[in-house]
Amino acid sequence: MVETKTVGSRVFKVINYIILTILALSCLYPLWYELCVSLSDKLAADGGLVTLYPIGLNFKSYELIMGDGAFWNSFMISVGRVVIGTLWTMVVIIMMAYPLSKSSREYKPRTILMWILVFCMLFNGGTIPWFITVKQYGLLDNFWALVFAGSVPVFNVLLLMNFFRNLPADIEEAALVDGAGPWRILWQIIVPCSVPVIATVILFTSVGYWNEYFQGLVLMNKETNYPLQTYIRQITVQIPVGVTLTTEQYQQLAQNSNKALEAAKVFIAMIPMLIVYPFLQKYFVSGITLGAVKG
Amino acid sequence: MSKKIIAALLALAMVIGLAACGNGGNTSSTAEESSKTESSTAESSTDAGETNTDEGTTIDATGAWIPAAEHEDDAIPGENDDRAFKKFENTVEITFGQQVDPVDTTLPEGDSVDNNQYTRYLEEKFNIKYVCEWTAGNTADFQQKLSLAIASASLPNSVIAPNRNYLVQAARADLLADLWPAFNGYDSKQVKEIVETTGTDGDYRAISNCTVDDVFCALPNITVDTDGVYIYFIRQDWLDELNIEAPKTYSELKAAAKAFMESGKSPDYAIAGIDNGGRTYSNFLQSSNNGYGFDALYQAFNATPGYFLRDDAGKIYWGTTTDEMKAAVAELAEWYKEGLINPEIGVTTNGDNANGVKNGTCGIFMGPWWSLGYGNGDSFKNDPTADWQAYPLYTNDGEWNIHMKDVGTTYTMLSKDCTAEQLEAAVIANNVLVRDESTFDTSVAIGWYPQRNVIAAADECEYEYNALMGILKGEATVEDYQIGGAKYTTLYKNLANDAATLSEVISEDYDPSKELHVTDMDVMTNNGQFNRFYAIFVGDRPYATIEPDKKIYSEVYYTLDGMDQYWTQVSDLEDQTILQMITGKKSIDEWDQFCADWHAQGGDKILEIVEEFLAG
Amino acid sequence: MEKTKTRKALPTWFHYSLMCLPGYIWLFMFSIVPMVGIVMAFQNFNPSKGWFGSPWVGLENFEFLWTIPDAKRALWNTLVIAVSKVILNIIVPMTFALLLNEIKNMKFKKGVQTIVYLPHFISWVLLGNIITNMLGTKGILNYILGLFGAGPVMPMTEPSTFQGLLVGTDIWKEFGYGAVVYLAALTGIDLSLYEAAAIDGANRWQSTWHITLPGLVPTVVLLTTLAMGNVLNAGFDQVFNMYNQLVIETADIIDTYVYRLGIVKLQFSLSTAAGLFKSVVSFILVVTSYALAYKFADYTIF
Repeated sequence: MVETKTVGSRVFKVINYIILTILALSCLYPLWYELCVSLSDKLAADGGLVTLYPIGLNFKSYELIMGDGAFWNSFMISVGRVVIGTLWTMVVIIMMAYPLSKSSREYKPRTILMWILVFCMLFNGGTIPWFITVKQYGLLDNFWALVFAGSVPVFNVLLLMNFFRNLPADIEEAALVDGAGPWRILWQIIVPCSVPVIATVILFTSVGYWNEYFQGLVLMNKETNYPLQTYIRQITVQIPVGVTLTTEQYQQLAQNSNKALEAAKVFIAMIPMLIVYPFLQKYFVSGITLGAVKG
Repeated sequence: MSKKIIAALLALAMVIGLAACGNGGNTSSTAEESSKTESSTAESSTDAGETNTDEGTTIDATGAWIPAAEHEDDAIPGENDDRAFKKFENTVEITFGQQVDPVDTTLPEGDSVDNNQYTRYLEEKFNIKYVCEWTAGNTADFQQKLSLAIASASLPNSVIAPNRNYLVQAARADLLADLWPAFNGYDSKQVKEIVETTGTDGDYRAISNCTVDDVFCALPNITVDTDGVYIYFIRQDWLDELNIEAPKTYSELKAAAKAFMESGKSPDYAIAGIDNGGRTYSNFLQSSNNGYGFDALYQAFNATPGYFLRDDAGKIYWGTTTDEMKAAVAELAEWYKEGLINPEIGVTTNGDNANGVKNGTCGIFMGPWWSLGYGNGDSFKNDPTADWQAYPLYTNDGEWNIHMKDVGTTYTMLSKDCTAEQLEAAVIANNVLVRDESTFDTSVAIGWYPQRNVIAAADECEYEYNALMGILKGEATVEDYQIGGAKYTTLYKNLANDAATLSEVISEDYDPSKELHVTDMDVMTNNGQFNRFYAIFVGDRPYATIEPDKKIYSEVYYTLDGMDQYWTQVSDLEDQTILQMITGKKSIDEWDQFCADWHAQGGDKILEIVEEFLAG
Repeated sequence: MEKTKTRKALPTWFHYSLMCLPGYIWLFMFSIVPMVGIVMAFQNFNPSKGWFGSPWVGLENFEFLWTIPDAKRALWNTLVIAVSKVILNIIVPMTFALLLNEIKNMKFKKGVQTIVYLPHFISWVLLGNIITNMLGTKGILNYILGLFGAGPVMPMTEPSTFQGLLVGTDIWKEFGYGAVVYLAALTGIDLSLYEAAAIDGANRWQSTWHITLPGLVPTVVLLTTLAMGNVLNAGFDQVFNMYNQLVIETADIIDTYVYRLGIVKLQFSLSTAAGLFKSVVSFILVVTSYALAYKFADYTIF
């Protein structure tokens, strides 16, 4: 492309750099804010005085966390959930997406299966029936509920399906000629050709599992079984609109706050996803785009 | 073993046990009572219904209230007896759901919510074992879990409803046991005495409060009256420094707030308010413990918002939609506009509304007695000279009118799946807690005791204030209040321990003829007791020493049948509108429109229902 | 096409069905079975009687909802917030992608691109708290305004602008992530077009206007139609973690209303009815929008 070097384009260039820098900084701020609060003096943190930099810099919160068994327990549950959940989800939805990527000529039940999927994406019985169902399965307070109870991530299935559908047809035909069955075609041909979308969906799925707090809250009976986000939510959450407190609860609120420690926990909880996503980022663009936008 | 056999055995055990106690006439009625227990789970709703309608007339075997006076004295703390403190032959397990504080660190290593000093005590002494079914880490999560448990008809054996709405919903969903036979038959004399402080002649508010559709279905929670008496708190050291008399009326309070700001004591705002989700006043459903609300100020305007009141003509009206309330809200709006009130009232989260109080930049707030000490412990830790004092806010006519709270706020619900034995065990555990709690190690947070239920005499704080003052003045001794002492009484269960620890907190140099100040106290040595004493000696001083001019009760303290759906709508409307008017988001000129809306959107229906109910 | 004989015993459709099986069992167990609970919307639900024993009331719950001002308010707010989000979540990421595309310093470009994804990965539970602090009297917003001698302002308490705040923070959280599609579309535009335009003497603005934007049109059309299914999705997590009593009249959406009805006020049937209403409308919209996508963009998603 040819660079035109008018004054206007220079001004634009400068302004553009400024705008993008500000945008980037604004996106970094939440992380920076939590870091500052976590490194601040307890009094300054509790008093809400921290804005731009730590006040009374110290590492006490992080020392406290090191010895916090409950925190690391939840951390490990979340790690286990992400690893097992992502593995299970990927295997299942890849197997689902492949037949659905066939036309209804090639696979007759496709139409009905597709409608069921879309229907399930939009309709749900609400929290209460869902809770009762999981309870009936005997999965309450069970680690596997954290993996299964969210049901099939339909959106990700659609993403995979569209990607598969847009793969060149000849690679599959060649394999058929070689005598490969559907299973071998799927795992040895389709999947290796779909690295970008699979990497993207892995990222979505693992972020989804990592950030999910509601299921942990509703389905786990004891805090020792809480995943990390649920654990964090219970220590940082506000009193929602419409709830009134009893004496003990007021006193608890008044006495036990340690915002610096809370912030340190929040900060640590953000880290794993931030470490992982830049590595998957390079697949990201082609993953989403090819899945969503036809050719 | 089948339920029937257990019940029969229990009945037998009771007959034998009571026979040993003597008092023949009483024995037979209680024995019949207990034999009723076995059938009660199946068909008792009608029994209890009769109980409550013909209360106080005859003592009948189906379950009229057995007065405390007819019971033998309870066994002394730590001992068993054959009835209210009996030891079960086989371990009785009770499952429960409970809120526990995830960041509390007072529990010894290895202990848990169902394995701690209290549960071990229950198991060793009484063979009652509490088994935790679920916990939740904060109020919102707890209510969510409770809602789901109700919706899925899967309550644990025992769970505490945080307000009456949950009790009513659970009862109407037919999920709760009829607790009357177990409660009436097994509660301790001490509990009975306290229940009897809530009414007269068999008509006790503690009992009717736990009764839904004529079934008594929860252990009553009886909290001190002063929980609902609102006063204001102010930094006395600042007043002294600025040479201001302690304010008596709202205009004087406003002047003090202005002075705090102008002098730089309060650079941001002078008066703290509520957090997101809070209310600026407590209503008939949650009639007490509204920390950081403006209740005291409304009272100074003779307004009693959120209560069902009766006018001179005997007609029921709603306390919020009145001219007095309008004047009070207009005044608050003015204060807000002038920047006296925390501009972030109703927005701050997670207890941030108290930041200024904690870090010493805000010098005024309102609430009940425990707001000082228990409620603002951090502000003394940060500044051991922060001399908070509590005063009533008078009307311009010099009257101190207070609104009176409901008997209790929480309800220990027992599921209908409970066996008769489990119900008895729950009642006995409650007896034990009321009798023996003050003997436990107080460094462990009370939140860890399964199903801890407060049963306190309505005047406990005032009684303690006077008794402990008596000790400080040398009119009584610490020993007088210990077991066996001249003034020992089971009705005021914390007094023995409080008397014994008095010297750890209050300085020897304190002159009891003067008011107590923070400088007379040791903040850190026994911080738990410091908080308690600050709350009692300073926070409750107004109610303990000043007789209010008027005590105002709501005509009804819970939602009546058919009222819920209207209440859902108008309560939201009301909470939002008042807060918006205070913060200037809505003009006070829209007051009449608000009142009209309130009545039109369901308020009139609600008043109709209340009127009908009260007419009988 | 001729198949080899070894697998003739089992036809392909059988294998396909076998592949789908685990997924559909999973779907059945955790999505379809709970849908039985939808019957609560037509009942006066009593937990101890359950879904099969509770008394039927027909459409009474819906009729009652229709009489409640708060329910109508929630519907209106949902529409306003969600539609604004749908529109701006297309325009803003596109603009950002265009701006980023002008940057020739690859390190800077990559860096910015990586950073702006960041908020997308932080849950609203955490962000709600952080934003409340950022916009509070002691927050960074008033700190910056203070440097210019302005403020203080309290956007969290202002009902008239709170919807804007909700939309704005949502855009802020998602624009980086949303830009991905546009960046990809931009790389797909034929570079020779720009060269030809430059030879013709077109400046930057002109080539953007005449080449880049038209090149993005198909993507925009597609994303717009796809987003139509979201017009009743104003974002529960966000609103739930940010709203308060002062702004509830403009912030309350169907999902938060359903939550309060069901979980806080224990009106199980009403809550289910409101939820069902939302599902039905969403379903109609999604089906319509996908039909439109097929018709105008020749795009099939299912």
